[in-house]
Amino acid sequence: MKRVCFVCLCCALCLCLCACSDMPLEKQIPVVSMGVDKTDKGYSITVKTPKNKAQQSGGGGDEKQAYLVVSADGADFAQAVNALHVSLPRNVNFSQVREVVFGEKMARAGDFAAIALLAADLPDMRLLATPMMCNGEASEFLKKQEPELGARLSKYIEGTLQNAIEKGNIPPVTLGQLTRDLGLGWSDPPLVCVSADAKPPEEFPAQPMDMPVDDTPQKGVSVVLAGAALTDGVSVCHTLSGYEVHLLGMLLGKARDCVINTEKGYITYDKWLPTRLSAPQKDGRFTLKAEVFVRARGAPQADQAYAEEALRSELEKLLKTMQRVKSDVAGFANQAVRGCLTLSDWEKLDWRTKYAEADTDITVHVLLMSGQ
Amino acid sequence: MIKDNVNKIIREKTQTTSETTDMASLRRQRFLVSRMERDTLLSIEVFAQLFIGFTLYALPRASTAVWWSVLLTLPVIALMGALAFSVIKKRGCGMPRPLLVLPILLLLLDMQFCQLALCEMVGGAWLPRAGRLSIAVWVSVFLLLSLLACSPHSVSRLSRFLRVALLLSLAFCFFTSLSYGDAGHLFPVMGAGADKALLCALWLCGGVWCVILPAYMPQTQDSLEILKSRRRLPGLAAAALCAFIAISVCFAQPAYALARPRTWSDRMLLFIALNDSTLSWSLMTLGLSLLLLSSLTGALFQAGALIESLCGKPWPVYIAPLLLLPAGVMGDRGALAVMEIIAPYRALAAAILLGATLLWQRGQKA
Repeated sequence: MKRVCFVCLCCALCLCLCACSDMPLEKQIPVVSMGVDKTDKGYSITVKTPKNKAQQSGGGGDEKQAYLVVSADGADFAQAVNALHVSLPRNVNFSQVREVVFGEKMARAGDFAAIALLAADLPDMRLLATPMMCNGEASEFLKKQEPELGARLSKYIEGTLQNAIEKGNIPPVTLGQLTRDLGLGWSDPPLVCVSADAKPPEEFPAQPMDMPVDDTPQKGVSVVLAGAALTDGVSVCHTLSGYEVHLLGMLLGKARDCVINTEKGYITYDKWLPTRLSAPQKDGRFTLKAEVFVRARGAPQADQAYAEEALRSELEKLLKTMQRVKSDVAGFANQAVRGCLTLSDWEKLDWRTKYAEADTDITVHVLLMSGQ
Repeated sequence: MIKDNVNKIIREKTQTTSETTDMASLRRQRFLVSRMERDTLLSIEVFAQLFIGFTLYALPRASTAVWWSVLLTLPVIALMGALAFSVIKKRGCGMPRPLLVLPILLLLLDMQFCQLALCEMVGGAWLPRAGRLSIAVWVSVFLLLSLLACSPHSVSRLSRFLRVALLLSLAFCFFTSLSYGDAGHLFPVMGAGADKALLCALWLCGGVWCVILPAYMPQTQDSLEILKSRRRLPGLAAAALCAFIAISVCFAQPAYALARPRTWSDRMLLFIALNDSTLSWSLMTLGLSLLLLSSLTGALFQAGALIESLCGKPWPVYIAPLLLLPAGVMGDRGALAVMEIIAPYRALAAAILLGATLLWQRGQKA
């Protein structure tokens, strides 16, 4: 009987723990999107929050807009957060944030890693939020972003991101992973590239995977999710197109498929077996080694060797680009660190320099499928 | 008279002579179960102290080598257990009563650690906006309520059940956090260096002193016989489990990220930092809180029993929450700094206690 009582008590306590912190919900403002910009005077934080009924009916401004966008500036990040708390009538709750958008100037600044950490350390911040980099300012992006389908922005963001991740146009990354690995982990986490008001390409791109992922009915400003922003342990250093993100997925063995436009036609590569990454060291020089196993179809004129070489050359080009910008997004450091006994050994290694100078050795194993 | 005779005949006719109804065997079984329950409570105390130690001190210093540090406590537990068993075997020679002051003081230190960890956990995970004083008062009130509600034996009895619940919670959190981790995070295997790992192991040894407690707890003749016949070391499995938790934490976070969390409570929950499951978070926080609370209450009753054995009269355990309140209020700034310095010397004190007892027993025998 006592055991039964104890189990009941535990279950009851579990339910208590699922509440939203110690602040009543009616005294909180849930933030759906958050933006961080670097300004001439310091930093600017923008939040997008659902309007309440009073604000929607007689609160002034555009009545059609269901979301309120508030910005606050400060000389440093903490001051901007304080200004934001003062600007709003109730306590800001970050536990519902779906996206954290960094303006391009902010993302490319030297203090990006520190600011990202501070943003993740905000009380109750949702670490599953997607970190993004937009071209221009984040505040402008948040003002323009509206749900194109339905009325709930949070649901729309989740759906669009899920769609883009499934298609392979953007990397699956969360704010928690970004702050865990940025400058501290064995791989450089990417950010999702996003742009508002982007014009659709006039011509079909050379590589079909470069087509923007947003194919929802357009009723206003189009928000396009395509590509990734690479980081080098400090800040954003390079951007990859949607096609390159697909290739990166192939290199890591995570992408479902990838289509390459070759001279002999389109070849579709499908995931087959897990990729083998390694970073063997010889005479102080590393080799970035990858063995990729894929299934290929399409292009009837292309034989196995051609299909292998087509993917290999594209992957090598991508890897060289990543080496040039010193971004180890594939996580070769994860392999190299296995040869070190202590952290001081690792620090003596000077991985970033060794990574940039390393040789590459990519082997593609293709299982050619018949038919289109 | 006739009625008594009839009753006697009925008893003789109906009574079986199987083992279960034999009073001596029944009593032995009861003591055996009681022994197992006390062993479980000891395991929980060892686990709680090691968990407190590795999250507070070892994790930021040893980095990925933290699990080595926890594993290194295993031979210390075995050695202490063997020495404690030697003391138990010679309990017939009596016990130097003044020496009982030492385990009482050590138990009080353990309680302070549990109280601090509990306050930190509640403040960090559940009530982030609450002040230190209100959290300490809340924890003390909860402790007082649990003391009022339970008897000394019920804590050890409850710990048998808690063991299962805690293991299930940890297993659930582990499996739901697997996808966020990476085997590469376990490297470099020696973390911040072998010297740091060894230093942390020495520090952690302070938390396993309580495996010697059965040698000093008041025992009846029957329970002493059972204690002598049962060659088990309750702390070993707990330390191995704690090492597994340490490996899981290292698996979840890369080496440099292990030192990043600013607060102790963040380090306690580092294992599930990226886990999006609300159930995992609830189970982990609830499981840890119950672990700390039962460890604290268990230590409190053990200290009570030792005081009673020393002074010959019971002490009012209900004043303990008041005694622990100041440490909870001071929190990580004041009390923890002092506790960090004192903690490793608990193992030394335990070694002195064992040595002195064995010498005294040898003198008595001679």
